[in-house]
Amino acid sequence: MRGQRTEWQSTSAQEHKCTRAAENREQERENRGLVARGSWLVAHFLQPPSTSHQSPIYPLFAICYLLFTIPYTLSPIPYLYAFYEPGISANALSRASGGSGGLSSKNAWLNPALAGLSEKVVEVHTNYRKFFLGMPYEKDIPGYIAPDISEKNVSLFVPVEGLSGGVSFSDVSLTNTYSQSVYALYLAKSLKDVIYTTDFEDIYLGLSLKYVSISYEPDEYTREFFAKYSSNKGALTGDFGVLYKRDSFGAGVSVKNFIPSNIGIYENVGIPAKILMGVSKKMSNFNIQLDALFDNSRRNYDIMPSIELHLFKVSWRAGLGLSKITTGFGISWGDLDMDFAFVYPYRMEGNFLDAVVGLSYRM
Amino acid sequence: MRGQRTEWQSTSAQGQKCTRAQEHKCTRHKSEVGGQRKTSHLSSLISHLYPLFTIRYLLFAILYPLFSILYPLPLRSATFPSRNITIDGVLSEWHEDELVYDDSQNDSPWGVQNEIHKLYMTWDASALYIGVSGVQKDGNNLLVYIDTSPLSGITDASLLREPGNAANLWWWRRGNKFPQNFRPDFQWHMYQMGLRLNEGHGLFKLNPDNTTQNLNDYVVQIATGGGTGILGSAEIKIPWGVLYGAAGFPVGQEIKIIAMVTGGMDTRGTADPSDDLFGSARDTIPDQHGKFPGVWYESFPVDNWLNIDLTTLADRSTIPRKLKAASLSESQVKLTWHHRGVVERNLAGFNIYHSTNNVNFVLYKSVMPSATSYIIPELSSNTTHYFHIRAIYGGLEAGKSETVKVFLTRPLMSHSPIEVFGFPSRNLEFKVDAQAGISSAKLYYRFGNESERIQNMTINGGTLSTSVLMPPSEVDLYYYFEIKNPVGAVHYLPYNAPTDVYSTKIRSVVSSYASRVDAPLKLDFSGDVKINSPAYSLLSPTTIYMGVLEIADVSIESSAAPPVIFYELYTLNKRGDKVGLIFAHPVSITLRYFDEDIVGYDESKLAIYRIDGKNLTRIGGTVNASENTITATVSHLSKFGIFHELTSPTAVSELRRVIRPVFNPGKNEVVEFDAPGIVSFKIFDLNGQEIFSSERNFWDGRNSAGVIVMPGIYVYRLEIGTRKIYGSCVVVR
Repeated sequence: MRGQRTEWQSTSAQEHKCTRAAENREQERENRGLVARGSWLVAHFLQPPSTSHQSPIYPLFAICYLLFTIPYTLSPIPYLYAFYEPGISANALSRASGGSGGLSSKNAWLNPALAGLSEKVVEVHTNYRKFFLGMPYEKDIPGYIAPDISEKNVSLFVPVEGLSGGVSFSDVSLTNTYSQSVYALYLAKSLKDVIYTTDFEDIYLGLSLKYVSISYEPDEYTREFFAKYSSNKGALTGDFGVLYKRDSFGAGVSVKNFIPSNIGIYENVGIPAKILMGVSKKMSNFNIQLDALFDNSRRNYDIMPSIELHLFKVSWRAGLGLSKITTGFGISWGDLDMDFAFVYPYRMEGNFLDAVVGLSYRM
Repeated sequence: MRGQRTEWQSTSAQGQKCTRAQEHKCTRHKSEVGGQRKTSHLSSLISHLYPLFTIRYLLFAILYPLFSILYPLPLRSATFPSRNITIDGVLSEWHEDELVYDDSQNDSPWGVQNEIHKLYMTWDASALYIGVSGVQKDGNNLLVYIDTSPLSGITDASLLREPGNAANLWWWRRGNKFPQNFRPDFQWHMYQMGLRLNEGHGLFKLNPDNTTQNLNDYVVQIATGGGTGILGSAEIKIPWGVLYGAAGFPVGQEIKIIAMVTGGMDTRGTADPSDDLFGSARDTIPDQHGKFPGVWYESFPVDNWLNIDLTTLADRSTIPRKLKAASLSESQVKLTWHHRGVVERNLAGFNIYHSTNNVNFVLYKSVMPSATSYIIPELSSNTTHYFHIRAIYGGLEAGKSETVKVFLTRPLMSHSPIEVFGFPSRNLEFKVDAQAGISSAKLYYRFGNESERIQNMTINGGTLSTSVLMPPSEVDLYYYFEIKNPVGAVHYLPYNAPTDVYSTKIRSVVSSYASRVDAPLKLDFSGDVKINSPAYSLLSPTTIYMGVLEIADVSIESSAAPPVIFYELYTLNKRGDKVGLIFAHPVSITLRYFDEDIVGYDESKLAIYRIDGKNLTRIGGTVNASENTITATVSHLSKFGIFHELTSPTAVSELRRVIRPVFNPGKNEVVEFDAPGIVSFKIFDLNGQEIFSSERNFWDGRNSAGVIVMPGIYVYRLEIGTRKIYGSCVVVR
């Protein structure tokens, strides 16, 4: 297949100059039966509209439905393994950490395929999150560690010839105690030129390679332990994502941490894989999203519906998760966006919330 | 000698035409014919009075028991009942140790039919008893000379005069000469083991002027058997008053005695008694050193006799007595005896006989006559050994002593060198189960390559015990026991110590296996440290380890509560690392303290604290002063310490300390909150998801499903009283 595919790619490159030639090429490809021998995704769900005008969104909906409903039937206990990964944007946080099917490269952390949306411009995103703002801290209690937790991330996406690439750095830290960093390299590609001939439909594939690093700060209890086992550990893993875009509709699936890894310093601890699926739909003055997150055991999940309203040039957002209520807003000044998010972890029953601010700039 | 005898027989046959069988009768007849009429009249008188003697004997027999009964009890020896030899001529009732001399062998010049066999002697408070056996023929006789006083007695038996008639020589004079140290005062004689008083036999007093006195009225004597060539025996009971002039046991006196076979008198048909021929000793008890004369009627100088020491009334054994056997070890026996009773001047020694079945005795050893003890080595252990000894006189033996037995075994001591737990720097008690009868015991021990030390052990019934101060760390211990029994015998445990010694490891850590999770468990560690857990406290069977930490090795923050003792209770994970142990339900732990740890402290103010790093968390506990223990309830095992609280803790509902906020659940570590009055406790992840909730004061890093969570930051919320306290902790994996 790869040989045949290469042959087809070569043919495609040659015929790129002329739409008529492209039509001929489509016909030629069908004649060759490449569709029948192509990938499962292409063959069954993403058939070109020239040959089948049935939208692939319906099978995707079916998949999402199943994936959303199965976890509910399996376990009422969410987040059994609770591994937090830094890198999420204020935009996503204001919408309950959803956006894998959204249409913004700001959320490439959720779905690396979203990096493909920056194929035409250079984009820089940065975010800062302060956890549990307003949480009261105790004083003068030996051993007490205040939840002084913050997260920052910055990402850069650059369009390359036929590809979109990007890098990001994310870090979450508990002051003087613990930090976790993620260095990521993104690659994303639009399949529009490969699969579609229409401008309003596209599929993006994305891949990110991540180096996850954790670091502990030894204390009186752990000094000997970390001296023996080290207080730092890094692991390589990666995400893979697909985004389908059709006009104002988007659907995405990403598999996070699909590369096996070990982040334990004392014992083998693999970073749990997760599947994040989402859909989005833009309306005239608002858009909605629905995301579902579950791990590879499908026993840990979160359901994250959200909405975004556009009023007075301000995007007002709100979302709901199983453990949090989120809101936020975004303001755009040309190529500059500023997003704010507020996350209220209502299960913690406290008068505090996470406050996030993000900046994006398109060049 | 037989030729001489034959010569005499021939002469007799020619002169008197008497048969050998009638010899005695002929001799008596010749005596009568020979002018010894007074003697014959006396004999006749005695014969007439014989019934009176019998009556007297009967009276004596009646009165004696009455006397014995009525004899004032305070005057009796509590340990010396009357010997009560029945004077019937039968020697079977005599004891082995009353056999003065056993000469039952063919050592007479006149052959086996002219032998003296055995001489018995014993006594009681009233009389001396003598028993003899032997065989004679051909008119030969058995004489017993008794010397009771060095100041009297005779020197030449051939000069003796007729009893009651000093003018005539005595027909029962013999050709024996006596040395300075043996001057017989009495003579007891019989004819061919026949004792016929009416024929002049019996006991006679020998006076220094060679006169004699018939004492048969004062003694009881009977002979049985006997006759020509026939083995016979005779017994006589001589009251002490006869021998020493005063009734009662002659304390401290000495009797010298010699018994012998002699030839008879030969008057040769002359009227002059001085012409008579008379025999001298031919076989003696004891055997003589010098040779008997070649001619039967030639005189013989006696040169050997037996000395009977009458030191004590109770000590009537005539041979080495008071034989005792004591085990010196599992293979050695020490025999001891007293050098009293019969002591011959040239006693050759003692023969020690040994048997393991009390039947077949084998001569084990001959020892010197001066010996009063002998150690017999290399005997088999776990065996009963029997011993008796015999005195040796000129190669012949006296009767055997009492038989003693001893069971050779090591003191029944049981000890198994096992690896034990020892509280560092505290006394470790040693106990050995042993049989009673141990007089002293010592423990020899050394730690590692240190020099050997000795510790006396306390004997309490069947237990030997002592305590040894343990070094501060785990150590190899080498030791053995030395035990002495009451007679000084030394036994070692192990057997061949100190060549071999016990070797063991004194552990500073001891373990106990919790084998079940579905039932309550009582885990008993050494030193009264215990854990009692309810059912399902553990998730799986687990081995729990307990060690004692040196106080100096535990770095803790300065505390107003002085430390008493530190413990570490833990389990091991798969990689062998020490890890804590978390219980699903609270368990009870009991820790031990020592009196030396609490000198100057108020025992009631002891409390258990959990030691987390340098921090202490009070657990409390109930003190059992009689057991030196304190018991408290805990939810997980860690390092614990017993402290002496100088002030009573105040129960304030507040978070006083967070212990181990960065912890590794993989090592069974927990984050713990020193906070009395916790109402609820919840753990959240950074997404605000609730991970775990409880009412206890620690979190073991597991979610509500019991799965260890991922490493990272977690936020807790404590409800203490009405307060909500938020904080963070970090899970390490």
